[in-house]
Amino acid sequence: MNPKLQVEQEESVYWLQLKDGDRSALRFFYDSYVDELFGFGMKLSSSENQVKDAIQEVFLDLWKYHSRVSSAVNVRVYLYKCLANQIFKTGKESKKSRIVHQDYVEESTLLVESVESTLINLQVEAHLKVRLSEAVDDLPKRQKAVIDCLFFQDFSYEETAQILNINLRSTYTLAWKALSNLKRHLSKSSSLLVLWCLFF
Amino acid sequence: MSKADYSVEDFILDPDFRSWILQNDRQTGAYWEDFLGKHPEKISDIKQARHLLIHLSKKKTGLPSTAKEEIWTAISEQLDRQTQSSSAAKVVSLDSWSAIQQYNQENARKKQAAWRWKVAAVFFLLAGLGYFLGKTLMPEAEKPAVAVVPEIEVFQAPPGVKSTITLEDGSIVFLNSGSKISYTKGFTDTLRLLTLEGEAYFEVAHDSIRPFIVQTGAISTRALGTEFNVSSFPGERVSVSLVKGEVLVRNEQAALEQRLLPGEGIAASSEDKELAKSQFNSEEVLSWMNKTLIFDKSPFPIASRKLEAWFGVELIFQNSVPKDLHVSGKFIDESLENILKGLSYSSRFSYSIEGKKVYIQFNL
Repeated sequence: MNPKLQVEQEESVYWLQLKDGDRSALRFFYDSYVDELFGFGMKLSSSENQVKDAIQEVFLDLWKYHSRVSSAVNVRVYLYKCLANQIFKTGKESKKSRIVHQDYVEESTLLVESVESTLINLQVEAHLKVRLSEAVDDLPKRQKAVIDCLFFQDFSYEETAQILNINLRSTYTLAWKALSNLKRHLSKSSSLLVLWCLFF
Repeated sequence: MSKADYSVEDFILDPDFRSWILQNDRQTGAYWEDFLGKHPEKISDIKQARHLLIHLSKKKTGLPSTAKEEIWTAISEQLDRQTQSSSAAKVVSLDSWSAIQQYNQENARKKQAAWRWKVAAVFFLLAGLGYFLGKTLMPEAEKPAVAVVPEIEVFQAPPGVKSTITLEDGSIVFLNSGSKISYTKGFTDTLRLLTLEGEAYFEVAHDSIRPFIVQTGAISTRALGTEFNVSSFPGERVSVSLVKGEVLVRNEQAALEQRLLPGEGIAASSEDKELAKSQFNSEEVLSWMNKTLIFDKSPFPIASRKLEAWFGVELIFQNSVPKDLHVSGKFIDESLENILKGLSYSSRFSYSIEGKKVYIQFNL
């Protein structure tokens, strides 16, 4: 069976259990999503504590309204949306919590995952990859969030708009601006590379 | 926008373009190859788009497992606390008198219920017999469709009893004597709507998705997360007093709206042409919650209505109430006897208390 479909089926079973007030179902969703929610949250906020608190609120709310959640819902989109709402709601983070802790695991994933990926990977210049990931980090929060949803979480434009609570048009505009920023970075670093080659 | 006008950004944002570059999708591939042939001027843009797309990587941030457990523990603790508080009794009496009254009434209800059971059992037997006979004598009739009726929850504080109610959403309602609230069980997805007859103080639990609305006839009070008092007794103006937060008072009939800030109040009736705000005296408005009865130049009929609800008694006037008779006074946790004694001097009446009935005769 298609693994994605299997996950969806498993989730819908747990979702119904959650609706019936089964707390182990809540734990299931917590375990399945806490990691990616944290990663997504860190795109929207620079405070680790704010993200942790927001995640806590998301699951508490999920429990609070468990009997009223619609049974036909994309759980992933729903949770992302709740988290984004929660973080935008708390908004102003305290300056004190701005220190970024480095105790969480970081690894880079490339977009490419097809059979051809090995071939393409050969052409990927490592320094460019680093540059671009830095550039993504430097993007304004909302642009970062849109890029994350569209390119790394495989959400559609509609889903992204829903999650960030903005309209389709703004979603597209934000993504466009973000890419335009990245493009500038890319050409800058390419020209630097050319200069570097000329010198040595 | 036609693809011929695409910029680098537009290419990357096109899902078809992405699936061509990233998944090497054959179908889209044929399309884009054709496109390249037709628009050679776009080749450099496409090259750049592809370059950006395949270099885009992201830092994956995971949580250490200790942090994961920490958050979950915090969540479970909160949940345990919530289930404890929600399983507490629905009606909490404010004082001993209320408690006695409440149990007194519950007892009466139980007696009544026992009697009802007996009646029900007899009916059941009769119905069973009837069904049996019907089944054997008549062809099967079509079953009527069962409509889903939303369950309505009603809380009533009988005269002489004040209660505290914790709603499912965590909001707390202090219900004054002789008042009643009703709402759809569990509320709905979009609204927390309840109807009030009488007087209550609301501590609304915050919920940005479902506004909290108190309906009193044509006047409604809409809140997001606040504390306010609403009083709406038959024949009196609806009075809303805001203690904390912000509420919106509406007169649906006249399509009027007024936003209240803390310390502001409105006394409205459905026939009003405008909703006028005023500052309210919080000591007087909220006195009922502190077992304090305040009359501030109150017309005698209103004062006697208050006494009736407060003590669960009936005032019977043996001669007519003097017109324009106003009473003043502040009674903190006083007995009916003492209050009547106090009022009888200034208003010049004599009284006698006989059980639940109070006879009042004005001295002429």
